Amino acid sequence: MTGLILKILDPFRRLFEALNVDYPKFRELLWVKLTIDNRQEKSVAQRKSEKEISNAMLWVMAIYAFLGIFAGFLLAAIPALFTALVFIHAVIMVMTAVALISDFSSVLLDTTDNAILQFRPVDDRTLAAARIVHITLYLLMITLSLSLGTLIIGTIKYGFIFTLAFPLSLVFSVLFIVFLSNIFYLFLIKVSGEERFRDIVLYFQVFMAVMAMGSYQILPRLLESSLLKNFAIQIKWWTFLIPPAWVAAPVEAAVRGVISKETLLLTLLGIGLPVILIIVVIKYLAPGFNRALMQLETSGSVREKKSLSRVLSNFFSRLTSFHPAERAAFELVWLISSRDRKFKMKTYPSLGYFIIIAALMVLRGKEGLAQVLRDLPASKNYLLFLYIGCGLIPITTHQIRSSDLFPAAWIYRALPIAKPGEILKGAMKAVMMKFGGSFFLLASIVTLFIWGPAVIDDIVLASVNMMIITYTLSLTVKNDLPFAKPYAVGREAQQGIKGILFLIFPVCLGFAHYGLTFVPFGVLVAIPVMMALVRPLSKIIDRTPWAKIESIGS
Amino acid sequence: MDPSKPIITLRDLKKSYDGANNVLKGITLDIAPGQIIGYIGPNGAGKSTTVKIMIGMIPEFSGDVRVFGLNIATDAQEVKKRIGYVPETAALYEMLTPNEFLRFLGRIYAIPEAEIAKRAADMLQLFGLKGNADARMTSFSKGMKQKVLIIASLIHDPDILFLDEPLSGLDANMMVVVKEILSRLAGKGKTIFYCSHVMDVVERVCNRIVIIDKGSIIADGTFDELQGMNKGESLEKIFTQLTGSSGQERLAEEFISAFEGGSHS
Repeated sequence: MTGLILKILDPFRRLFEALNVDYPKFRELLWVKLTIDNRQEKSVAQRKSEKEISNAMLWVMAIYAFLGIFAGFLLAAIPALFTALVFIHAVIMVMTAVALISDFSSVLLDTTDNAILQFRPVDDRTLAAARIVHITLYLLMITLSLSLGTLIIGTIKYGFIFTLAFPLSLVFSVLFIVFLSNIFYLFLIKVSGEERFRDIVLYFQVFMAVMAMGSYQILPRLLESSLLKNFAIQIKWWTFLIPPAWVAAPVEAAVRGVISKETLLLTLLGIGLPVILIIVVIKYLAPGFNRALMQLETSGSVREKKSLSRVLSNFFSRLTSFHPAERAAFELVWLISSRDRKFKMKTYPSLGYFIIIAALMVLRGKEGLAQVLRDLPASKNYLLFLYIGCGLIPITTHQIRSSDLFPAAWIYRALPIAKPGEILKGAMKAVMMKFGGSFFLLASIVTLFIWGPAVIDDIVLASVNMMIITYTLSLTVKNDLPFAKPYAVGREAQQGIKGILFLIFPVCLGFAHYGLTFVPFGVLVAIPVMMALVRPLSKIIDRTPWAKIESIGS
Repeated sequence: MDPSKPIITLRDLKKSYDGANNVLKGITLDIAPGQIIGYIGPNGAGKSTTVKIMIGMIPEFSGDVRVFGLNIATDAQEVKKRIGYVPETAALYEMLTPNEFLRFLGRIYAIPEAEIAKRAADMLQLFGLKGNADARMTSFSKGMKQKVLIIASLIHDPDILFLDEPLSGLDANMMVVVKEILSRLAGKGKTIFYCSHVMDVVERVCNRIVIIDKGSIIADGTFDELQGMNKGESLEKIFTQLTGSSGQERLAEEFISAFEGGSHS
């Protein structure tokens, strides 16, 4: 696989050399990066099997292919080909941008290989070219998976010219995105300094990811509306400002076999601009980029003595955890999840997305906010609010297992910890209080405000259920100690899916609760029953033997 | 190389982080070809920073640094082709095997393919890594990684070798071998810049010792010269005299009472 990719690149050697990239070195760097990616997944035990494409990447591609089916439906639903293509390219571009920002910006902003390469004769431009091509390859794989559905539907509807033209247009949209994001990051580095830069990137990433996923929720709804069916984009002056139109135009022209002046101009933009951007970035911007990144690394120390997270973690750990080891794990998870940007980058978008989905469920079938507010007190939507907090717990749980600093987990084995269950429980409680609890508190206040004291019993039951959910999770999930595993490109996607599966449990409890509200005194009876379950569950977690703990690190 | 001309010159080298924190406060140093310089100093004295500037890893500094007569600020690429470096932390692409990693480096240095393979095989065998040459380095012990780092620093036959604690993790036999390698390299006219905290190794291996403290050079000379100036019989004694507050014994005592929960105030 790696060899094939490099062979495909070889004919472009001249192009790279024209950009002052040292091609043999570039090729070596790319080989190293690809080889490392392929091997990341395999642990010590699996090392004997030498399959080069890791299953993890296939998983990721399968997921994106599934998501891409919806984009394919757009092609089936919209009669005007150009309009459909503009929409599809827009969806794919946004999805790819999200993938780049949420999963691969670590590759773009990576400075770890500086320690190995900085004192060797590799110039910044060659290194930057290797990084950019590396990311582009991944994004291409994702884009191609995303567009698989469109490709099949398009081939059926428009024939084989579509099969050939469409993937080619994707290459240019990926290039466009990669270079746009490069320029964006560079701009951010220049404008803001050091710590602030990474914070800004983080919040932007979270915002973008949530927005993109949210809009993906809305798209299928749009499909159903008749508005889209009769909608066709006319080429006006502003069409030239929409990047998806640039790459959509040549595909349409190829399929129809007609080239107009406008289409030609759009095509030139679609092919020309990415190529111009490539030159600008590699030749002029990238060298400064790496240098600026290196400076980011050598920033001053941050004092955390009186930080809010420390005060809160101290307070809540005293409140909820009774064993010293449990408290230690509680505070560890609380503090690291407040400070580790990678953790935030991985977790916050899914939390935001989850809240958006829940909000959409409330709004579903309603016309306007006024009606929603009018209907609210009569509905039982407060249960939805309350159980959103519970839903946040499984999503966060699978994130606290991985960390870039996983080697630090040696302490768990070195310290005299008789019951690893206490560590697991402390960690889970921290997740519950910080991510579930904070939202639960907010939801309770809103609920009491709208529905009044009559629903206090529901709030109590939901909070007991939240504890049950937390404890059950640490039993059903493989017993991983907090932050004890390395991140791996594909495994996260797999874990993400597991996280979604574990959502089923809170959903079931929520529905059970909903059912109980129709039974007289049902909720009041359920409270002591569920409470009685908490202690035995807690005992079972305490008894988790070391043998059941997943081995640490790799 | 002209032995009378210095191979490395530092002139008033200064470096600060965040504008305030002065790590280096004006280092001036001439190093002649074939010298083994022991560069020592307390934790945080600026040793690694000096080295990283000389090898072009830190491009921002003030002062004039010349290696092979080339200005490091402008000709870093040329310099990098002819130097080797063993970093303090074992930064390696651990997912690769030693053979793959060395082949990668060989290509970066543009050494002919057959030559890399031969050098890598020979050096790995001599360091007892022949059996591990095709195993991923993730499973390697600290000492094995250190051996790979040492090989990696020499694979392109550099003229200057920068070493930052090169013996860490090596067993006593390996240490003897590496020390012997270093003196032979110096005998062949290679220049070695050796950073370490291990005083007795520096004392025996290096023919010139430079001590820095808080970003400034506080002593420079052969071991004998340093002995003459500061009545200590070992380098360790000289070092503590020059850089410590001579209160080490009291410090140790206070340290112990800190965790014994004793009555010491």
